Amino acid sequence: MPFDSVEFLFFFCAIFALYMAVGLQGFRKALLLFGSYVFYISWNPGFSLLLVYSTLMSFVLARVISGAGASVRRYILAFAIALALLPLFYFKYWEFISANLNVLIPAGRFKLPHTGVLLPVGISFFTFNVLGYLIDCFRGKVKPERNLLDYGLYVAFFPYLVAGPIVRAYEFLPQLKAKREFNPQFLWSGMALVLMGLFKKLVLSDNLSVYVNRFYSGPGGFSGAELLLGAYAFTVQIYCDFSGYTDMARGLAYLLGYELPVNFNLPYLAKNPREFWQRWHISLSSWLRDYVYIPLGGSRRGPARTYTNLFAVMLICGLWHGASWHFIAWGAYYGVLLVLYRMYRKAKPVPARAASGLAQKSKDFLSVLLMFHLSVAGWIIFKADTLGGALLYLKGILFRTDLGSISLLFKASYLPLAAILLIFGLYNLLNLRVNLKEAVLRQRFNPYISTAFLFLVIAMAVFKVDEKIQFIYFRF
Amino acid sequence: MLKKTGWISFVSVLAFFIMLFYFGLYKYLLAGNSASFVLEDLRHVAMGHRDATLVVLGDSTAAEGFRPNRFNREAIGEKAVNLGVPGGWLFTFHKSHRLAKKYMPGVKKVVLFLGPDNFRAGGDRLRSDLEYNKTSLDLADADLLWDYSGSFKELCKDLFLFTFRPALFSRDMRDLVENPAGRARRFTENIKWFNRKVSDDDPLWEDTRDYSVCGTGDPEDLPARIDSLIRDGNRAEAARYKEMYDGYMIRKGDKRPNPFFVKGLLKLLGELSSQYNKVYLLNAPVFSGFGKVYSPQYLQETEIISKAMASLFPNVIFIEIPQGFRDNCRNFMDVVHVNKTGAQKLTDFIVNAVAASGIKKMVLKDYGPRGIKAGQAFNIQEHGESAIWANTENATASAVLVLNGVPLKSVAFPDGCLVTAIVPAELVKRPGKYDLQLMDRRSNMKSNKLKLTVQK
Repeated sequence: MPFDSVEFLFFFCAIFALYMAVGLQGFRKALLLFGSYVFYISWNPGFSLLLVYSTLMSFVLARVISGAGASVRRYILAFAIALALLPLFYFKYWEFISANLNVLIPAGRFKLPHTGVLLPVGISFFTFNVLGYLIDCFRGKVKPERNLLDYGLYVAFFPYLVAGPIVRAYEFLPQLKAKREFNPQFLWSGMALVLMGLFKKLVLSDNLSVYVNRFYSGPGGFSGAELLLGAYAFTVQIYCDFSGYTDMARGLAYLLGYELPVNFNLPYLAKNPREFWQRWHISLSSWLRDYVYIPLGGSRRGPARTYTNLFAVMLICGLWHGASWHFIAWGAYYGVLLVLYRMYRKAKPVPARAASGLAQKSKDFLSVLLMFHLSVAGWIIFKADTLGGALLYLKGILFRTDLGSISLLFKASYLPLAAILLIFGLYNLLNLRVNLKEAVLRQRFNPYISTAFLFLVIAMAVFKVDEKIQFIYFRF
Repeated sequence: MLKKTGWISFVSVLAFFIMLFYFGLYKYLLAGNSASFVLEDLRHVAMGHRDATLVVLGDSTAAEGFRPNRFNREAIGEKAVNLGVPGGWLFTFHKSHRLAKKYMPGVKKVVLFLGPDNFRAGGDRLRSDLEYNKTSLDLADADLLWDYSGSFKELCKDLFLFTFRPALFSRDMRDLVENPAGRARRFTENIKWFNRKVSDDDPLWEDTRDYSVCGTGDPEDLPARIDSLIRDGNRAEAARYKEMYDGYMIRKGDKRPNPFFVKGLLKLLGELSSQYNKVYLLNAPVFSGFGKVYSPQYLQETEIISKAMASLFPNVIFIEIPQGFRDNCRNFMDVVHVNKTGAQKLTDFIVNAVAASGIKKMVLKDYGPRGIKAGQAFNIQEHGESAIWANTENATASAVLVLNGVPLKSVAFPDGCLVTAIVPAELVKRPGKYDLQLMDRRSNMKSNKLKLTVQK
C-alpha cells in the first residue's frame, strides 16, 4: 500500500478516525501497532514475520546487553548485530555474493546456491533502526525499552517503516511515552507536508519518470544534449520521489501526533560533497557517521585513516542501496569525492570569517553549480542498471553533444520536462532567500497558503500520470 | 484585514471548485466530441421532451441504430427519445434510465440495445462510465458503484473517484490545458447550447451517414486502400475507411462473454422491468461478413444470454433480428454500426415489436354462415363472392381471417368484435374441416383456431 494509493487513503482514514476516537494512550499505541502490521502485511504477509523477528530479537538482546558485564557486553552486541544483519544478508546480499563467487569457482566444482527470494520491502530501513537501538543501548545513550508495545511500535511505525527516514530510538521512544494532546500545529504541518509530498511524487517525479525511462532504456537513440536533459530529469526525479515520500511520512506522523526528523535540506544547494551528504538522506548519512564512521575512528587517527574511513563508509552507503556493482561504484564515487574534498580543505582551510560580497556570492554559486553537476554524474551511475550502462550514458553525453543536438532540446515534446525542471530550479533559487517549506509549516491555517494548496490538489488531479509508478526507494 | 481577505478568497476558490466539479458547472468547459457532452446534451433533450412514452438505452449501437423521428411517425400513440451513449456500459444505461424517470414521467416502455462489446471483459468499464457521467453524478448514483464494481478493491477506487471528483476530470483538464484557446471558444458555444430551449415538437437527432461496408473486402487490406485514396486526394473517403479500419482493429480478437456483465445485466433488467410496463431487449446486429471480429460462437453465446435474461422477466421481450439483415452489407457502415438504411429497418423491427406487444390477445369465438356446401356459393355479396363472418374479441384494425393458411381479404370492425372476409371459391371446393384463424398482419400475432366445416 504505497502512500499515493487509494487503498492507503482508506486505510489511513480508518486508522486516523479510530485513533482520534480512542481516548486511552495504550489503546492508541496498540491501534497504531496493529495498523502498522496490517500496512506491512499488505505488501507481503510472510515478511511480517521478519518484522516480528527483528522486534523480539532486538528487544530481548538490548536488555541482555544492558545487564551484562563489561567484558562480555561487546560480544553480545556483536552477536546481536549479526542476528540483526542476518535477514538483510540473506534477502539482499546473498544473491549478489553467491553470483560473484560462483564466477570465481572453477567449473565442475560445488557452486553456491541461489535463493531467488523477493527483497522484503523496507528491510534496509527497519534493520538500521534496530541496529541503531542496539548500539545506543550498548553505549548507554538509551535505556533498553521495557514496554514491548512501545518498542514494537518504534520498529514497525508505518509512516517510516518501508522507506524511512531512519529514526533513532532516543528521538522516538520518548514521544511514545509522552501524553499526546491534540496539537493544531501538528495538524496543519501534517496536512501541508502530505500535500506537498503528494505533489512532488504525483506531479513532478512521476511525470519526469516518463522521460527518464525513455532516455535510460535506449541511450543510443538520443543526442548528447538530450541525454544530459535526461540526467537532469533523473536528478530532480529521485529528489522529488524520495523527499516527497519523506514529506508524506513526516506529515502522516504529524497527523498522528509524532514528529519525525527532517531527511532532506535542499541538497542541490550544497557547495561541496560533504555539505551534500549533510543535506541528502540526512537520517542515513548521520546514521553512518554515528555508527560506522566514528567507531572506525572518524577523523581522529590521521589523514590516511580518515580517508580510508570516509571511503569505507561511502562504500557501505552504496551497498546499503543495493547489492550490485553499480551501487558500489556509486558509493565509491562519493567516497572519492569526499576524500578529494577533504584533501582540498586540508590544503585550503575555510577562513574563520566567511567572506561576503559579489565575489563570494559568485564563488558560492559556481560551487553549487559544480556540486550539482557532480551529483548529476553520480545519479547516472545510480540509475543505470549496470556499470557498462552508466559508462555508455556518460559517453553519450560527452561525445554526442554539439550545436545541432542542442537544437533537439527545443522539441515541443520536451516542453513539460523543461517546465518541471524550470519550476524546480526556481524553487531552489527562492529557497536561497528563505526556506519556503519551513515557512509554510510555521503558518498555521494561513488562508493564502490554503488557497495555494487547493490549486496543488487540482494540479495533482490534472497532471497525475495514468500508469502506476513505484517509489524508487521502495527497492532498498 | 489581510487574513479576512485571504479567507474570503479561499472560500471563493473552494466554492468555485465545488460548483465546477460537483454541481455540473464543468459542462460549459466540455469539448464537443466528448461523451460527457453527449450525455449532458441528452439530459437537456430529455428535459424538453416530457411527453415521451418510450426511451432507448444503449451504447453507440443504440445512438446510431435507432431513428426516433421515424419511430414516432410509425408507432401510433408512442413517442420515443434516444438516450444511447457511445461507449456507454451498464452504469451509463442505468443512469440514463434514471434520467428518463426524472425528466420524462410518461415513459412506460424502454428499449435496451446490447452491443457485442458490452458483453466482453477488458478495460475498466465502470471507470470509463464514471468519466462519461462526471458532470452529472449525484449522491444517488453511489449505490450503482456497489452494483457495478468488479471487486472490493475496485469499489474503493471507484468510491475515491466518485468522492474526489477532480480525479475524474483529469484527462479532460489535461486536454483543456493543452488547448485553452479552443476550449475558450467552446465555452461560449456551450453556454448557448445548454441553455437553448428544446420543445416537444423539435425533431430528435439522427445519424445521417449512409455509406456501407459493401465492396470493402477484407478489412485487413484497408490500409493500402486508405493510402491510395490519400494519394488521390480523396480524404473524405479515406477518413471513412480509416474509421472503419480502426473500429475493426480495436475489436478484432478472441472474446468470451464476461460473467460480471451478465450479473450486472440481470440487475439492470430487474430494475427496468420493475419500473416500466414493457422492456424490449435486443442484441445490436453485427455484420456477418466480418467474421474475424466477432466469432459466430461468441455472438451465439451473447444471444443465448440475452434470451435467457429476457425469459426471467414477464414483461421483458427479446426482439429477434433476422439473419438476412445481418448478412446484408447495405445495412452496415462498419462491423457493429448500422447506417441510415439499416437503422430505418432496425427501427421498423422495434416499431413492430412494440405494436405487437401492445396488442391484446385476439380470440376467435364463432363464425358463420354454417352449412357451407362444397363448390357452392354462400352468403353471396354484391359482386357474387362468398363471404364469412367471425365473432371476435380484440381483433386489431389490421387483423385478417386465415383459412387453411391462406389470408383472406378481410374487414375488421373498429370495435374488434367482428371480422368479415371474402372466401375464394377454390378454398371451399372440396368437403372437409379447415382451420380458421385470425392473424394481425403487422405483428403476425395469431388467435386460436376454429374448424370450418365444408359439407358435401
